[in-house]
Amino acid sequence: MASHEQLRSELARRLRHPENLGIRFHTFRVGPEHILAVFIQGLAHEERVRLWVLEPMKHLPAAGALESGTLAEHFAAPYTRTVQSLDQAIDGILDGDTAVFLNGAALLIETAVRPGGAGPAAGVAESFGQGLIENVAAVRRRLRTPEFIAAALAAPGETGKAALLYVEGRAEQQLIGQVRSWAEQRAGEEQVRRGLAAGRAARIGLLPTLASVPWPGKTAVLLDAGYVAVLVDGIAEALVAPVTAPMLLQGPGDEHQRRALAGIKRFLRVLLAFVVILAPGMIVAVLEYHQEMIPTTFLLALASVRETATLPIVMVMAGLEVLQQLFWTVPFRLQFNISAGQMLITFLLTVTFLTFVGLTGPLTAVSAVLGFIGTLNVVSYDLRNLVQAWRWAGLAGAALFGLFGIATVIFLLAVYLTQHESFGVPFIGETGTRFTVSRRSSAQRERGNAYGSPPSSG
Amino acid sequence: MTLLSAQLSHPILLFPIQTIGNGTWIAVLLAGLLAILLYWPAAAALQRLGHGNLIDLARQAGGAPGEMAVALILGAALVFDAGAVMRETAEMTISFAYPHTPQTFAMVAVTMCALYGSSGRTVGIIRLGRLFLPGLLLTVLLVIAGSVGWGEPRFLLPLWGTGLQRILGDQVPLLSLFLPVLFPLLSVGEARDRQHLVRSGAVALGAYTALLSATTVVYLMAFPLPVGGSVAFPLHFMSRLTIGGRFLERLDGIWLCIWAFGTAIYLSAILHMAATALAGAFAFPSHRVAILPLGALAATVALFPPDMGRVLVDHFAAAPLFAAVAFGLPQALILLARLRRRGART
Repeated sequence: MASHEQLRSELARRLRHPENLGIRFHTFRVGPEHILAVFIQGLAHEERVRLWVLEPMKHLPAAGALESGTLAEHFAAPYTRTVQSLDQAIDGILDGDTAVFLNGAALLIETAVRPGGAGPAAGVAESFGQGLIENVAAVRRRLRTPEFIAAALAAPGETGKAALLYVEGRAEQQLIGQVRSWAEQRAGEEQVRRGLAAGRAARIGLLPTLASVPWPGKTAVLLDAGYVAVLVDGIAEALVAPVTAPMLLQGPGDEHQRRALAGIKRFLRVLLAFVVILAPGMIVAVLEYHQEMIPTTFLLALASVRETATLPIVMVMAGLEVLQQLFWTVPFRLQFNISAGQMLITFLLTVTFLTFVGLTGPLTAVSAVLGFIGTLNVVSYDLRNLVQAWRWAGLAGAALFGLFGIATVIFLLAVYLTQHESFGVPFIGETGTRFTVSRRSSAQRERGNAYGSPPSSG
Repeated sequence: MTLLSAQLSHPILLFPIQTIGNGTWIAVLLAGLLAILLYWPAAAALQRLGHGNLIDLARQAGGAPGEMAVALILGAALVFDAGAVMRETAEMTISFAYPHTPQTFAMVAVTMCALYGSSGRTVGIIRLGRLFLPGLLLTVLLVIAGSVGWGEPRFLLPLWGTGLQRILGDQVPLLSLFLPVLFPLLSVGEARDRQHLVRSGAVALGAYTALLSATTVVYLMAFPLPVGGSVAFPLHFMSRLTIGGRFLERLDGIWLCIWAFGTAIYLSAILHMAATALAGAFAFPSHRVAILPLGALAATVALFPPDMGRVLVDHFAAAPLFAAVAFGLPQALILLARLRRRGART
């Protein structure tokens, strides 16, 4: 193996140090020799690194007494193994182990964080936590490639509060530059946290500049498909660009599904989103304008049911929409800790009561409940906002002009979506296919144990 | 293709059916072939031009005055066509679905869609077309399939209709059906893959010809003459023959909406083309500057005729003019540009 300086610079090149956030190099001088320890913050358990690696390194015997072959004996870690090549050492580092280099030999000490256990791993197992380093590690753990870069965003007066994430060779340099400059401009406006979070939605329009993704798994898959993400310290979500339709339709865990099944799930999500947008408007349109479309017997049944409802159908549907909006916003405003299931049951009971007292009919009540369930199924927070806004537009179009009104609303929405571009990438369109989410991601090409190398006695 | 298939729901074949009779589908087929033959050299010449479109070709052929004259001719023809289609769509919607609603209400919705749709970039209109094309084609094919059972093949006889002379004689007005070929000719300068765009135009012409011809055959089988010659909106009458089973008694309301998408895309593209032509010739900062005035002009043209009959008569009377603009103008410009280049060399 090469000299210490050569080794250090080769490792720095391969792991993109110091540009890459969280890569730690510790060098100690032991007589004439240098001993180097490398690990990744967040992937390696900090306490284990301190106790099992850094502390023992300070008390190593002087040169001459220290042989590279007996290096493992000087560390009190339960699992260590000697590796022969730099590639194996880098693989171990990406697994969360700490690599110790001395005299051309490399020793891997298992220090990996095991998600699901105690400590910093608990918050990053399924969704993002609050800490920037832990969140970067949660994505890195799933990508496990040295091409994954988490570069610190240099905002004026603010450092170490936000990171730009991308996979080298996958994301285009132009896109990386655009997102970096966008994020740095906003990060500099005021405090990084508030500046970025507010800036992503500040643009006038139905879609944000950067999409909010609360899952590290989905973020990893998107990065592997060429997207770029921004992580901000204290915010439990990744802000991903460019904003495209396939990205918003991808749910958590889709990357682990079979291709056909994931495709069907995405198709059903699109269908359900359309049902959610169109259901209130369709009921108003069909009952008010196009009764010839309904079979006569069903129409008669509907007419008899409607006798119980005292208000016009448009007012009933609009009232139910307001009720839904209240259910979506009030618990969060009052900071109630209420689950989606509890919210749905409460909504169901409320609508049943309204039907019982004659303020709504059964058909409108069923439509409202379906709409509520459908909205829950819209996986992206940003898409949910779009869907909710266009429900009102669909309702207004149907009230004014029946099915033709709904068609007008859908056309205007389609024009908006086909013209919309995020950092030069169309939301829907031919070049959007470059950004479709691929299952053949490096997240799927994990080797061995995803959370650490196989243990060996040391 | 969407731009072309949008015309399927319009009353474009009313007069040809009246004059040619059963031979209309053959006339449509011949007109389609003629359209491809005329389109290909013009598109190929523009492809060779580099980063230019029909307006740039006009500049080469006649200088700045020629460029402005061509832009004005194109603008006038396209605005007139957009106005006619706006009025026909509004009338169709009112007469089929909302008999008690004032037609200006439908006009407002159609104009709004056309203005918003045309204000974007060309690539946005192409994406819009790609988004709606499968749905539009599916509905047209379903209507054709649903109407076949109601038809009698013997109603197609005599095969030549009122005679071969009429079939050949009515080719010029029938060529106006292919007015949207101007879209690739005007947007070829913006395309990344110019050859692909030009080829797509020819494929779309061929596919549209086949579709329109098949629709005409089925229509003439289901609605034999003389009844077939008095129906303004053939596809809508065919759609009423399609029954959706016990759950949906009448599907024509849904078809109406889906075809409204096609019409809206068609109008967006037509206004966009007119605005692009004028913006190129008169050096507007963007085509968007011209969208609102052109939309207002088209809406005015749409409201001008007193009734639907007048709209149909005027639209058909202007058909040779549209054919001349779509096919004659590009050929003339190519010839003039060549002559001018040759003159400059000598």
